[in-house]
Amino acid sequence: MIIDTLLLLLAAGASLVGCACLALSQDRHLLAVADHRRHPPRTPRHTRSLGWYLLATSLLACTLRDGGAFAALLWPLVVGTSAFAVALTLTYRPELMRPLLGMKHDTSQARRT
Amino acid sequence: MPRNGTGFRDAMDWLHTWFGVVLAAVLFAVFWMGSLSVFDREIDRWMIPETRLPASPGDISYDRLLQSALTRTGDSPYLNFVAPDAREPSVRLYYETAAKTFEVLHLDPRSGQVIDVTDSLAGTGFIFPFHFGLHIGWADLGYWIVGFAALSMLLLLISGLFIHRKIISEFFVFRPTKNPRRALLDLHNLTSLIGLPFYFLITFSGLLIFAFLYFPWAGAEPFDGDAARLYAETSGAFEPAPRTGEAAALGSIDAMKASAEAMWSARVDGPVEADIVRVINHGDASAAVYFRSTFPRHRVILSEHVAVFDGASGELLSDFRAGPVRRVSAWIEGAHFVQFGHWPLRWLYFLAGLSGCAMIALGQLFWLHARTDRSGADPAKVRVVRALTVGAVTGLILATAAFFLVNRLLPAPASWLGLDRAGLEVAVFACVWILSFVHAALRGRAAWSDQAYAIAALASLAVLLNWASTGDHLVATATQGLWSVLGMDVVLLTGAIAAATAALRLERERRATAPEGAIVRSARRGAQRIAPGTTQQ
Repeated sequence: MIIDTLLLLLAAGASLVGCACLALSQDRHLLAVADHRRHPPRTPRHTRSLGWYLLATSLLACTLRDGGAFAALLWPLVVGTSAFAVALTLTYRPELMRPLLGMKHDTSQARRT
Repeated sequence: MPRNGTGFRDAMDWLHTWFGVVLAAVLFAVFWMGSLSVFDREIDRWMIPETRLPASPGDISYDRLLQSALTRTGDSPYLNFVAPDAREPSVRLYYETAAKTFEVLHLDPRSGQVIDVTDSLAGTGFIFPFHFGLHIGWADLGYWIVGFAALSMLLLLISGLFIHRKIISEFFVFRPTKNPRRALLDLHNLTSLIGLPFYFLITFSGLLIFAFLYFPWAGAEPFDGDAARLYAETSGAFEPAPRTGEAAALGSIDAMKASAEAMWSARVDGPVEADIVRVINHGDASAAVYFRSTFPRHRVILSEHVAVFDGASGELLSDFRAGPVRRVSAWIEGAHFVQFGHWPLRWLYFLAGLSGCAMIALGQLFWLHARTDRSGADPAKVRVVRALTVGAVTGLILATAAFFLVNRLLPAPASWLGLDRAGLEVAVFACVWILSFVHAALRGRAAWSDQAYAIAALASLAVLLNWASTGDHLVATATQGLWSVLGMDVVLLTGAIAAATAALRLERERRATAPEGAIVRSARRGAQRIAPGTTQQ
């Protein structure tokens, strides 16, 4: 029961962050979220791959929880919900996604210097 | 916005626009009632309060239930018990009366007593059949309309993908601050894309469920037109022998049930339970008992196992397991019926269904806005389509809210103009729905916020009346574990808040974009006629 709840939270969380990464890998959304004064917007290099890996993790969590049959039904709905949440966040509260950007930007800054 | 070219995308645009505008009302109704049908048994608990029993522990005795039922039904050739579960703690019994009609009884599983229930079709009797048949029974027309709409839905989904040029680059885009047409199109595209796998699955599986209706030859030809053999071999249907007229006692149903379940559980890994117990030709020598496992809790597939026993001797007459081809289609159908015990998934189906409703409504709204004249004088086609859209969207939601509300208002022995209480509830639904179209025709753009306010009012009243008539308010249902009623009240209240918010914003927008009301416009026109050139344009 506890494991089921944890796996569901993992599936939802990974999907949400994964969709956020996929969104941020697109320039228009990066510009909407980025704070121009401190982080000049540059397309983070590995964000898109990270996004897909997280979505795959979400699928794995769904499969571990309920088996392939239910995962086939559950996972697309979880991803759809996450995509909707990310789209609304980008529209109404883009600053909520800045922490994700903070992680990626530090890596690319360090690599440049 | 409407395209006039002759290329492939233009053809897809034409297809999408025409099929969308013409079928939006039917599609919205199917998606709306379908979303509610996910919780049809919960709606039953809310509308039939006598069945709000605590979940029954352990096994129940169908022998005892049968004896109790027979006191009310008399000897009946068809007595079909639906096993209780967490969502439906009472036992539903469908039986054939002497007049060859079918009636429903609810039984308390522990005492076996027949419960005197509120006469209401509720979720399983009204909402769910509306979803697949529109309650138009004449010549199966309702099934055909829904089927045509479903097939068109597939066309709409595919043509929409062809029209939408920037699927990847604008996947997460929603721009509400720009002009309304942009915002509506963005939101229509967003709701379409996030639920796309779901819409394809639901629409296709829905069509598959009624495949034999649309393609009777698919079932008739392989079996040389023998429908009985078709259903026997594909679904384990049991053709009852004619009554012999010779009386015979029935063996123990519980023993037969246990034997059937043991047989099934040995075949698949995991326990299988019978949720349909049907006594055929009771009291006769030709009596038989039919068991089916329709909706397993932890598998997607449905109706996989059927067993039939001879009534008097208890001998196994039929041991059916769906064949491989049938199991494939049964899995797809199971994905549509969503009756398994996976609560997060069922709630996501409900929300995905509502996003489908949003997608359809937004498509219509976009069509209307793309053709609305800024000065406010809408062409006739826009006014007609707007009135039809308001009635089909907010009008349908309003009628549903009225259906729930009147359920809490009508007294038990209500009857009027030949309609019984259940019929009166449906009549109120129909009247409110029709009136919403009339109201929309009269009020034009203002009808949206009017009806949204009305939805908020009726939905809140329904929750209050549930409290007043049954005493089951939110705290009571939460502490007693009456999750069905709690869920229904919470969804009603959430809907009321959403409707009220929408109504307020719609009103504000209406005042902002059309500051000149009809009176001001006609005054201006009158002044222009008298002294042309003196007023500003």
